[in-house]
Amino acid sequence: MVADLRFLLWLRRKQLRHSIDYWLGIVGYEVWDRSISNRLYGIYLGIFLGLWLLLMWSLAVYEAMHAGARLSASASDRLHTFVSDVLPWVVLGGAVLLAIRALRGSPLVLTDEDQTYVAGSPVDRSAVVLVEFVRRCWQIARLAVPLATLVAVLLAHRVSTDEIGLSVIPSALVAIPVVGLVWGLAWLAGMVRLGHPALVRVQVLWLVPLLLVLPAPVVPGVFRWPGVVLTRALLGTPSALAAFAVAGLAAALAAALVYAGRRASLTVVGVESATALRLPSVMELGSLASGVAPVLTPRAPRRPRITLGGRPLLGLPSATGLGMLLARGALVTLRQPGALVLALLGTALFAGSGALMIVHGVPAQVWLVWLTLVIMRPPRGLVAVFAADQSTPFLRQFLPVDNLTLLAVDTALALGVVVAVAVAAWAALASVTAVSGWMLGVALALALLLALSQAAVLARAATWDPALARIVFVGLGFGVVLLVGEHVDAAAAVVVAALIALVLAALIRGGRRVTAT
Amino acid sequence: MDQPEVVAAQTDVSLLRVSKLRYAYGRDVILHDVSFRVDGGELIVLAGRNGAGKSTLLRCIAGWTSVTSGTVQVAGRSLEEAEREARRQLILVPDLPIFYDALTAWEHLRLVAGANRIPTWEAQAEELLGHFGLWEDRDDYPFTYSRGMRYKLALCLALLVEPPLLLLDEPLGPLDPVSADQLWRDLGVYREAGMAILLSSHQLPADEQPDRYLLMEQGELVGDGTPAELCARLDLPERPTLEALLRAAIVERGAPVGR
Repeated sequence: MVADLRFLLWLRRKQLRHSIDYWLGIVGYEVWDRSISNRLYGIYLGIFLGLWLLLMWSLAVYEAMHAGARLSASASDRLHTFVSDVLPWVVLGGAVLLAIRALRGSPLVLTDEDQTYVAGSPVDRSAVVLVEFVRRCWQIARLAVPLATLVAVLLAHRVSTDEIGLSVIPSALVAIPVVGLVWGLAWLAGMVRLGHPALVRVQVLWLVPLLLVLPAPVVPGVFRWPGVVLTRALLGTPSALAAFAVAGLAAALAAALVYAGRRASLTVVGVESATALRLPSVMELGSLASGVAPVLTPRAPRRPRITLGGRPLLGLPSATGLGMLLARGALVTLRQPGALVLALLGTALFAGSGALMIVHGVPAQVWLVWLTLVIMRPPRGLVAVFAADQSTPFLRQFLPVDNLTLLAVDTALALGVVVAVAVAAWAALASVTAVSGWMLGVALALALLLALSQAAVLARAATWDPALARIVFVGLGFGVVLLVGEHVDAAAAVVVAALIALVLAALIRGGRRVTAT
Repeated sequence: MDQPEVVAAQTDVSLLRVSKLRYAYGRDVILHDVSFRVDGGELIVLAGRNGAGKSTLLRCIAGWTSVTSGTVQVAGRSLEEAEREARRQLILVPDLPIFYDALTAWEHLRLVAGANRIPTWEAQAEELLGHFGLWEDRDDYPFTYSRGMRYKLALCLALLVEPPLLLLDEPLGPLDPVSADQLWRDLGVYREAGMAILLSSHQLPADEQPDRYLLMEQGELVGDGTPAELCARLDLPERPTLEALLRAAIVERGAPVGR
């Protein structure tokens, strides 16, 4: 098993290295280029990234500390009580949900390459399971630890970092064994199922975790214990003994995983991985199509090929020209209601927060963080159909319109829903609180700008690297609007947003009809 | 299959003219100054070893990839200067066509027909689906199809539009032998109707020959001519196999053929 572990770690290290090389290439640093200028650029990138991370982390800690310090003593006490009461149950609920997921589909998800070269090889199954489990825990922990640190800083109720010092670090580190314990329980349940064909066939197996937590209200101390350990740590009263006990239990679960993983069927894992990769879109289609198995994952071992019988409830109407394209855009949007809801939520969050910042004004560091988040991960729901069109050149050849027209018809329904919901929300809120019309105007202008700036990147309106295009189109566009809103007023921000939208529209119209894949 | 009506561009210039086309990816030059022309009603096979640059050449012609230098003219219009007009004259079916997850096969045909304002498309679509054996599966989503079925659906979409120039990347590879023979005969029918067809392939149905061959090796065009012309030049007997033709062209160029 040690040799297999070494092989798998080598494989993952190579994949990680390839991924890092790819992202370095995106920002212009070529790993193979040994020239002095390229190396200097690499050093510059390293320093820039380090400083940027340090700045962002400092800002986050600063904001959390001041948010905590602004609380009155009584409010702070109430918050502590609330966290003590609720967080242990949240941890328990999360553990149950993860266990349910692990019993509905394999927690171990293998890519196509893994299925060919790992599942098809004589590598010890325990090694595969252990490596993937640790990798998953690491992925979660690297988010959970900073988050726990910020929560601990917030709850510390202190006014300076000198007072807080490094005391929150051990508190936040308790999150690691708790993550290991919660994910370990779920993975163990999943591996036990995968090791027994009879259990794989039981479609209601996922109810077991619910049954197991039924006694929780009677003996809450046992069930809430991991959450209580985490809560105490976050409140600044960590117990080293309890933390080591959780860590020991997590280690025991990992050892049990090695044993249970030995029996796991990688054939079932492979089938369920393939299903899981397609599940989001298939499940949305399934909710609208007749004759579709509502729950695909438990059936996957017996039905390796997903078959969708019957006609979809919504059909593509007979239309020609732009009418057909408009109908298609609307139909694709409606057949993926989950995507529509996400688009609505993402856009509302983005446009609402942006409008709030412009209308009410916020410190520069807040909108700097906002802008960075938008550049790194802009909400993409509005342009989902357009993105699909641009990424499939084969089908794009059959759509005889320019990019701007295609964007208009592809986003018509989603934008229409956004406008309708925004106006309805504004009307509802205006009756109970003072929400200005400018707020609505700025929010809608930002939503439109969001769609256009992303479409400009997708349509290759400029010949730059997509990452650079995103920084320019998304970052610069919103940055200018925010600056104008901050230093002039909301009306000027709307005017500038409209001007930028016109420029972006012209660029999109002139962009290539099909982008290379 | 009924005789199709292909409306070729009314012009006395070549339907496709490729001049000194060069494509480089970073330091690697994939295509070296490739030049050739295609006229309406020609069935041309683009042949070459793996990595010779066949698919890249087709993608450059279709405008899916920007060329490094050289020109591609479709019906007299430059792909660089009049991209949209030039590309209305052609359709490329790639080796792995991708479809919309949210639309069924029939809805794909309806979308293409509606967007391109094709009148009385339903009868034509029905005939195409029936001809390629997809009629029973028309209400399924293409992602449930096998690779061969996906390629057939892509062919249905392309043939519904009936472009003057049809580019096919490895059309015979994913198909079973019966379907491949059938497709070859179908392409002959479309050629008779005036459609120009340029397809890349590693194999042809037994005893079949195209109007012309384009032979590629390491990004260069090493042969361009009718089977008879190439046989005479390469000292081969009549009706050579694709493999023999390719080997002879590579040997003539001086490159190692391998085993």
